[in-house]
Amino acid sequence: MVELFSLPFFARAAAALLATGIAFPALGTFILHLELIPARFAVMHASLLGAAAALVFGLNPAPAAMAAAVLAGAAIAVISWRGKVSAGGSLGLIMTLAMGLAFIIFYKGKIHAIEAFNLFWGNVLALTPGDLRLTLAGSGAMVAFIALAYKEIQIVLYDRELAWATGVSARAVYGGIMLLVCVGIAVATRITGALMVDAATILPALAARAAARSFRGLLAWGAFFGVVMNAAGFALAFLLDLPVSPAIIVVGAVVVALARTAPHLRARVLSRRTGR
Amino acid sequence: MVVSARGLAAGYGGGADIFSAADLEVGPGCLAGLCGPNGTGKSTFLKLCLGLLRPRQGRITVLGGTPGSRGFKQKLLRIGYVPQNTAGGLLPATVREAVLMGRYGAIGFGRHPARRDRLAADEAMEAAGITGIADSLVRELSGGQTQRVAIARALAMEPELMLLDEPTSNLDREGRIELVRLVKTLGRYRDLTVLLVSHNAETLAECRPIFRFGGGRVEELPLFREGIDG
Repeated sequence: MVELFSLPFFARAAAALLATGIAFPALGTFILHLELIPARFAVMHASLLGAAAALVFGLNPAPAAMAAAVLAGAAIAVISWRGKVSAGGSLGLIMTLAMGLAFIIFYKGKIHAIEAFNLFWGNVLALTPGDLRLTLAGSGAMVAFIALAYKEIQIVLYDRELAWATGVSARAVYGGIMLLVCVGIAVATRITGALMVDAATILPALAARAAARSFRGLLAWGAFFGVVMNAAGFALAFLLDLPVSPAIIVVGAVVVALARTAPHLRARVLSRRTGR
Repeated sequence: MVVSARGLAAGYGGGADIFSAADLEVGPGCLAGLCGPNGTGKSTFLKLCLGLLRPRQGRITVLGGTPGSRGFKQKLLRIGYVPQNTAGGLLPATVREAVLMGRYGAIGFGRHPARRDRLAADEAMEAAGITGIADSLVRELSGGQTQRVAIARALAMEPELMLLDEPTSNLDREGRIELVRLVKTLGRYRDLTVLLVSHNAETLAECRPIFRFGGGRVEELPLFREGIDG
């Protein structure tokens, strides 16, 4: 398998999975703690609208999709900040409106919807050098933002209102988090496909939640589980001739289940030992 | 005046005013009580003090600044706030970390807590009687302990004004007495002004002045007993 790394497409895939394995679980932590699960669906639908608009004008749909994702993220940040909740109703509106407009564009622009939907079927083995640069830049930006605003992010995730009340620029930090989530979703879409974005973000964050006892621990365990899931899923895909993203998801689900049951098993073993 | 409101009206979204034409003044070193039935605007008033909500009408000044204005962020560093819900969601944080969070605004962006910040957090934990659980996770504490953590976090800010939203709701009688004693002691030594929302008569008995919220109005009670009976 080692000689496979000499193949450029394989090396690019491995590098992208390593970078996203380290950085993207933090996004999952943000999504889970700020209740952004509906928001990420809205972002995906908005990026479809961006891609549709780009196809009409004969432009590259990938950057347009990312720009639309960022714009949608900004709108969601404003709505959800005001509502102090996940703003489900407003997100539903953004999601359905984006889809409606996208399909009007498909119809009027005589575009095959499947052309735009192709964006949503990511493939880590099909990454171009440009895609890899974008992935590494996105992952690097995430790590840098977290390192710089560690305590501000921590208090915003702990309690937004409290963050504001203690004089932290909570709104700006929340906006920054939303921006990262949107960029991350757009990048992860190229790697795993929109429907499997959770493989890179939420699954390692869920496993980390079961293991961590601090915010620092959440980030560290998330990165550990992210790399383990990506590496094991990637290896499994090659050994068993499976598509990479679904293999990562299956490995991720097993890791989450193990991480969640391990503390209970350990407690049971300890109580048996002390019982003796 | 530490807190001064004139002709204040507040509400949420497109709903009716929760209260209007409210006049209220709290001087330095006071332990002021806010009482009244649920939904009459006591917590809303605290949010107005912090700038979390803008008044619909009237004017409010806190520590000489207008909440929500550009320069008010500096004033926020001098206000300790204990919200009603102090659980802190699901984010894992030890008691020590949660108390240190009170210093984050003052520490500034991109900087790490210094020795002075850790010392202030330790002192606050000692004052709130939670030093023994400093390394426990907040999410694993009881309601009363969580409330003490929130109070310690507010104290760690070394505030001039404290806004306490039903801080005694999860405490037993002894805990309530202890908390009020703590707040009064701090008031005396640090010239701390406190606005305390409570439904508890015993807690309110320690407060002067007391403002009663209800029926869309806010009134200062001339006598404590009359206010509670009324």
